[in-house]
Amino acid sequence: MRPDEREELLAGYALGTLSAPDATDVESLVATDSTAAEDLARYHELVELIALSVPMRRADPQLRQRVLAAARREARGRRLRWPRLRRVLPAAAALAIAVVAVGWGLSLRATVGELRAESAALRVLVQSAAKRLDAIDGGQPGAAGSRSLALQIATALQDQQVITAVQTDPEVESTNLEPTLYGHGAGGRYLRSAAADAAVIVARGLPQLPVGSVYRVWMDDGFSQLMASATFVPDGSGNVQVVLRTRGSDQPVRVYIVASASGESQSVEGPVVLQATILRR
Amino acid sequence: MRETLVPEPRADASLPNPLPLAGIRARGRDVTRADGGTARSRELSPPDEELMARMGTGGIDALEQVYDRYSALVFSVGLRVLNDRQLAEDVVQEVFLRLWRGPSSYDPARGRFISWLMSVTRNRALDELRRVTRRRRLEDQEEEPTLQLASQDLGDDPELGLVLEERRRAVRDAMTRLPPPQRRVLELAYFSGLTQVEIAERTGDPLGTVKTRVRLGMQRLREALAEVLDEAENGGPG
Repeated sequence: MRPDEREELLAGYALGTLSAPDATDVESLVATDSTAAEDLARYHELVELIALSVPMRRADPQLRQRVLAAARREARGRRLRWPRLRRVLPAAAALAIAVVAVGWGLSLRATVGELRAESAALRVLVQSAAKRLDAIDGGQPGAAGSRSLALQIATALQDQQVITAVQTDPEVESTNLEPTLYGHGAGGRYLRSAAADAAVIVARGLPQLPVGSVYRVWMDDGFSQLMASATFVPDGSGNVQVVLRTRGSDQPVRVYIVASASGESQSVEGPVVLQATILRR
Repeated sequence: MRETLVPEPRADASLPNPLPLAGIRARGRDVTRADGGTARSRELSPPDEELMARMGTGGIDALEQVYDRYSALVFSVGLRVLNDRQLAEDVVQEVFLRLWRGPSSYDPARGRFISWLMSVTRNRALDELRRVTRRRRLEDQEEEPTLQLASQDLGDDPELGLVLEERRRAVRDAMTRLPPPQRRVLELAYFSGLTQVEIAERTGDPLGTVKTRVRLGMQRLREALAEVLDEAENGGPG
């Protein structure tokens, strides 16, 4: 590689102007060449200095109050975390189901139209959980199987609680999930509740997955980091509700739903089916 | 009948590209306070790293101080990218709430705070620009007038501190001294988020010319700002 060409690539990479193949070349270069890595780091520093060339302007003074008020609201929301369920016994699970049922009723009263339709899937989960509880009570599975089953039920119940809390939050932030070319008409919403400190993805009409594949939720935190936060397989109609177990400090600015091979994944592989940019007021 | 999905690796162009590059670490650390006794009142306030750490323990006063220190700069960058006050204020709100939600996202070992903050701001502003462009079918902001905006500059920002203000002036001088075609490609890349191919399409210049201008512009800028970069890298002022 000619020196000029090397400099062009490093400078272009730091500026974010390269094509994908050129960017890959740079990543390969700096992975094996510490000098190039140092040069690139220096270019990065230089690039961010360009921001300082802007003429200074002032925002609306009231913006300061809005930002601080929003921060205080979020701080209060963090303190209202959901308690973790204790080890699950059939009796405790039954009680939890009752709690969920109450919450579910509240949810139904508080929501209309599409929300009600989306929530119908929850009822199926409750019924399924009840059947599993019956199986435990009847002593059908072995001890290990019971524990595993109980854990699944506990998780399902927790999810239902979270979904109910998010959907009934009057200040829930709702963002549409937009389909890409691979979405084939799928749609959905990303719901975030500061009060519940939780997020839920509600999607419908997702394309059928090939065998051995799952949908994976990737979240871009706005700090150049992509995090995989959940995997799921939708029901036969392509519908799903997914609880995203995030911490208050991990709120995304973008969310992607990607079809991927099942199993662990450290990088985004596969087509994006739905995506959303999360904006807050 | 539902469509069947045929996965193709990395087929969607809307993904962030390139993905974060692991293992690249900027050197130096962020110091926005002047040493010696020449400082203004701003120089007596806590360093950025300390404020970020305090934010991690819920210190809203730390957020207030960071906001007062950098909000004008964040807003100015947002405005430069978006050319819309309301959208630029949205960027300000988003950036500072993100700091509040995740102060640990800033790792002092990975570079100076101001560089990191500007990177976050620019990314958010460019995301917003792309979203708005898609939604409203707004066409280019090529006419975005650097010189016109420059004439409206409010001048020094006392909140930024003496050292950072001097650095800002040095960067502006260095950018102004660049040959206009080189400055233009750097600004289109940085503030409009255009790739080299897109810059070539927009300016009508051959791609090779654009690449050369990027290289020469960055090299000139690096030479002009060598002192600023070295000071920061060696832990000196600003």
